[in-house]
Amino acid sequence: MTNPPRRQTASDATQTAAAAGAGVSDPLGLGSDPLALDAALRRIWATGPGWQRLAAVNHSIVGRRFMVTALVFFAIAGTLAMLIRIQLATPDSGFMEPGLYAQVFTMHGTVMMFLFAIPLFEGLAMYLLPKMLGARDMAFPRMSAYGYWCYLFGGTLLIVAMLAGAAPAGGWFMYTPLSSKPWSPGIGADVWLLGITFVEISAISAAVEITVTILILRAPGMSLDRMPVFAWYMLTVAAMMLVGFPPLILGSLLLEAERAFGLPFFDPAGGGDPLLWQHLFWLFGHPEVYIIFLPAAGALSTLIPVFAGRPLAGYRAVVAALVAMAFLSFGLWVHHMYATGLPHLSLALFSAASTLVAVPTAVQIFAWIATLAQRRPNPGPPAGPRAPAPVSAPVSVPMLHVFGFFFVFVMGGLTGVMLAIVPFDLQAHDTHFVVAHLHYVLIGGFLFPMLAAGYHWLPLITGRAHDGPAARLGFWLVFAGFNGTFFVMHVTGLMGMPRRVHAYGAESGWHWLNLLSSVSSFVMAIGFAVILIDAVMTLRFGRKAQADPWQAATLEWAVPALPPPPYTFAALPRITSRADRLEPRKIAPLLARGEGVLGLARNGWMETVGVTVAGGEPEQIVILPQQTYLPLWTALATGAVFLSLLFKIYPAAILAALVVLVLFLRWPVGEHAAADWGAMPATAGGGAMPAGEGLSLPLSSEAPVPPALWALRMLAVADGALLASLLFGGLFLALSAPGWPPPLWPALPRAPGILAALALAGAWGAARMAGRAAGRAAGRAAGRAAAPACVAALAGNLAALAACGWMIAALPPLQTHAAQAVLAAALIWLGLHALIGAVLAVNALRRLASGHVSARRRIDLDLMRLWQAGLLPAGLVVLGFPAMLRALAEAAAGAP
Amino acid sequence: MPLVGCGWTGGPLSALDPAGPQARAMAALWWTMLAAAAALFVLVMALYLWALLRPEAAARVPPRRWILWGGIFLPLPILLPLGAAALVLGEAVLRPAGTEPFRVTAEARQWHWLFSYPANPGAAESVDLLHIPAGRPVEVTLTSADVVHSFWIPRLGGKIDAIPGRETRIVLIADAPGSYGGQCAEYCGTGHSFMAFEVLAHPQEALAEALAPVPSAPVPSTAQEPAR
Amino acid sequence: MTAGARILLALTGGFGLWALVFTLVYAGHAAGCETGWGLARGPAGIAPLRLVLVALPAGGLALTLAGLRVLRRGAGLAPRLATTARLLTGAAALATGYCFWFVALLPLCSG
Repeated sequence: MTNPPRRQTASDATQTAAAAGAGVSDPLGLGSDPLALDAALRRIWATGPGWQRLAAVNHSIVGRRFMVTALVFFAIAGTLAMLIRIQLATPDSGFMEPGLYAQVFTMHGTVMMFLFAIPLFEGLAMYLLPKMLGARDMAFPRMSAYGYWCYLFGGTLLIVAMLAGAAPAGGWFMYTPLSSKPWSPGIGADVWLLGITFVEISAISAAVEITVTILILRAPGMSLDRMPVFAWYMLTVAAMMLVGFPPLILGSLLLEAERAFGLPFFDPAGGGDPLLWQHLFWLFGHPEVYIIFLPAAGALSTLIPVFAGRPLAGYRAVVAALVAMAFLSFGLWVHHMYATGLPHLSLALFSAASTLVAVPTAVQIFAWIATLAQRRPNPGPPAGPRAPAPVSAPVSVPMLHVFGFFFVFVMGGLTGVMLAIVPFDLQAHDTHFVVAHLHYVLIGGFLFPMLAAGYHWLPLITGRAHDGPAARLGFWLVFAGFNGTFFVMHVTGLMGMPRRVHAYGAESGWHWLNLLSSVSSFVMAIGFAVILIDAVMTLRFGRKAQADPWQAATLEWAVPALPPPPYTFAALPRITSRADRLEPRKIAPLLARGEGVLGLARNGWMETVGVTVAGGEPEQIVILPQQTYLPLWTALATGAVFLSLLFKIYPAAILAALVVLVLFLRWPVGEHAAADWGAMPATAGGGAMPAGEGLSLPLSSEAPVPPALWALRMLAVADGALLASLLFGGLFLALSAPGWPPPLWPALPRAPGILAALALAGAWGAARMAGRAAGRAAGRAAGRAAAPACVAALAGNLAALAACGWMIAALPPLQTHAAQAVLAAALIWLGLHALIGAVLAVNALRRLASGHVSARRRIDLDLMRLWQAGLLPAGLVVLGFPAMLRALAEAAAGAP
Repeated sequence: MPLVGCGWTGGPLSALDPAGPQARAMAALWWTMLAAAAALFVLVMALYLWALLRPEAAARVPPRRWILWGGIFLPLPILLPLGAAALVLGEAVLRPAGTEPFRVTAEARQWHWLFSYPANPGAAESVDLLHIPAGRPVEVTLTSADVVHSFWIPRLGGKIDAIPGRETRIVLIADAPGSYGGQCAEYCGTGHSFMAFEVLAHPQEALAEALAPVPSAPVPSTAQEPAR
Repeated sequence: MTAGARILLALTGGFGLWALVFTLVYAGHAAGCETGWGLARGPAGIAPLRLVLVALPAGGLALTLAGLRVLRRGAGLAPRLATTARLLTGAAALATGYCFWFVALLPLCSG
């Protein structure tokens, strides 16, 4: 094999280049020596000590950070819950005044939902997915790190605000107009809107990353239908996040615009509608519940089979059930709005979907029961890593929490069906019955499974075996305390106790029920303390865990050591059967010896294999980025944007946004992409690097569909959901808000609209031409060939941006009516996207100039082309939106 | 109907102590669903524990049958009639048939209820006190002067939100003369807990007298502290 | 069509249609009630809005069942994915019946 032609661009290129093409599968002669291979891979993958930890991008480290940080927020929100229970323990309590109490219950809900539940499962998924899928890391490790910092900073912002006494106080669903400026004049609501949006960036980036990782970063041979079921769960969840979170992001931005600039999106005096907020919030809020439940269910579907020693029963039915659940969960949101006076027919639609979701839930529950029923009669070693296996105990600690899950979640599911029934909900809505129900569902459907998952994967994550009666004691305290706290709330609620009251009179008859709740909640808190202390003791003094302690059947246990090394696998396995029926014990030593795909260390590259989506055929070698401070700096700059917005220093916000942009432009630099590594003579099979086991694969920089293109596709889904929510919101207002049509209809000049349409079409055409030109050119000529088209695309986008600005300037004052405010929002969306299109064109020009683009390496041009291809139809819809809005408003106004 | 209206589930705001046909239907729905849910809960937990503790016996049921029976054949025959009953009941509750209703308007504001009786010229507005006739449907039309509130008289029936910029409606019936508690159910600010009102149901013939203007009860301003 | 796109369509097509029908029925009903379109009783005493609300799920159901037939004949999927796709499409057909049967019966507007 000949060496690929290359340009020496990086400082280490000389040193590594010799190794690059030298050996086919064993360039450094390490293949059969696991220790040498381990050392070589560690040098490449390890995160440095001290401050360099801040540069960590490794999924094991970032995943752990997500989980630990989430647990800290759990402790904070749990403490707030204790304060709530102290307040409500006795009638006419004076422990907290109502304003403070409002901050406490708002923060309890907000922190538990946004800063505990979502980041915890994101962290677990990030930690587990590459290991389960047989990859070395997530697809975009820097995105993981950036998402983590955004989460940490956004969460810290909320907590600091609370400590400063400026926490939001409108309840975790922030209903307008209570959260609007006149009724929440302080900074608290802004903290919520901006802080949560900041954290949502992290959720969207995690969703993109999880989807792309599952779709293409799997072990060779792991086709979709061989994937462990946890990957199906996370794929579904991530897809739901892409569609479910944008409505909330949009709602938050609109509400912040109303609070800061007086754009009346939710103000009925200006053609807005408080119900628009409720629709946007619950359009996010209900899928959110399933987004939290499904990862936990995925953990159950993974660990119950391990306990049973059998594969999951009904794998296909379970996958079908969870996809069905994902869809149904988007048809439930109005069941939070039964009392808003909608027609019964509308309510009935949502009631039907809400009850129907019980079916896929039941399918999963009975699949788990069926798996348990098929349990191997003689458990033997799977009794777990406890030193003297307690023979009398029928279940391990994880299975104890699985019992907690069954008991609590089934009850929560049953009350959920009750609440889906309109006439009953009209009584129970907004009472403590709902408080009971949601805690049964979330603690049953998330916390107990996550505790089970925690005990199950503790040996993997920490390398420590877990022993202990303390864990069992902790479980029973939490279980008893939980039921004591929340079961009685069903009754308290039906006896008329509304949510969020800070005090109640003795004549209500609620006092002893509340006292029972409060006392039990302290039992539960003690249980959590026991679990925490036990976990800390295990970390400090626990025995070292043995490999694959549970005799599991998935790849995460085939890592070479516990906890896993930073490179995860020394070689990637070839999968030839279902990946939830493997034998990690047999696979691990082979992989550690480098017997598998990419069992090599070369060029200082962090390599993993990318496969085809459906069949799992190896398709490319993905070279992952090294540890870097860029995510930290970018997140800090992003934080500066949000802080400037919070304190209304808008020039600083724009400046910080530019810094974010410049930092992001520094991300794509990857020295391997500065040359055509695979440009070998066609006779040699062309375009490939040796990957071991006789495989030759192109680098991702030269592959037709590299991971970055997948990421843009996923982002486009989220972006489309955002635009759809905005257009839905506008049409909703035009149709049913008071004060429509506006007294003076906002007339837009025709010229800029036509200009924008033509400019976008031109930019799209130019972007296509750029790719074709580069494809035809040879070597460095690509730069010269594609540059004119890139300049044209840049010009087209700038023209579209200018046209959007022209149209916005032509609108009547935005504060006077929601009609122009909505049109302005849509045009700002379009203008921003044209701006990003321009940035992508500048990026392409820069990369052309620096030689990162050739006929084979066209990712920068492909990103630009994909962006313009999506922007053109979206832009035409936005440009047609004013006419749609007007037609609908006039039709509604003409109604009898 | 077990337990309804007796013993420990009572109280001035208890939905389990109904005093009107709609609240009674809702309470009956609750007790029925509770019985069914309890049975289902016991069944699912028993099956789970059986599979967990006696796998050698439970293994004789093939997985396919577990999933098909438990996941499809168990819930669907319960959900379908429940859903149909809910629609019929919903129609009855939201649109009770009967005589021409007595009309009242209610304006919610932080943190009081202002009731007026447009159909009864000369009737005084009342604050946090609603006069209605017993045994006749009452249609309350709600508006809000500030934020979202929710109008709820648990012993008579369900809630309806008072939303700024909109008018919402609810029809309620009280069986007998008496006093019933009402409460704002949607969080509406620091005075939410005490945004309560009293409903006085009068015999038809005594209603006019109750509605006669009384020179008192000025309309409170929003700045006023919650009444307590 | 790439293999990935075919899998996506096979798995999500049925419930995608359900979601589309759901959105159209909900939005169409709201729009009809707000604009007053199609409320007057037409020929045979049926309001045109009602006809639209019934036709949408009926059309969705027909398309879903057609999709199920295609899947039955095998759509070039791996066997386990093919079963999952059939289960999902069948479930989507059931869900369409379950969620929309009453649009023919309940009063159209007014709460």
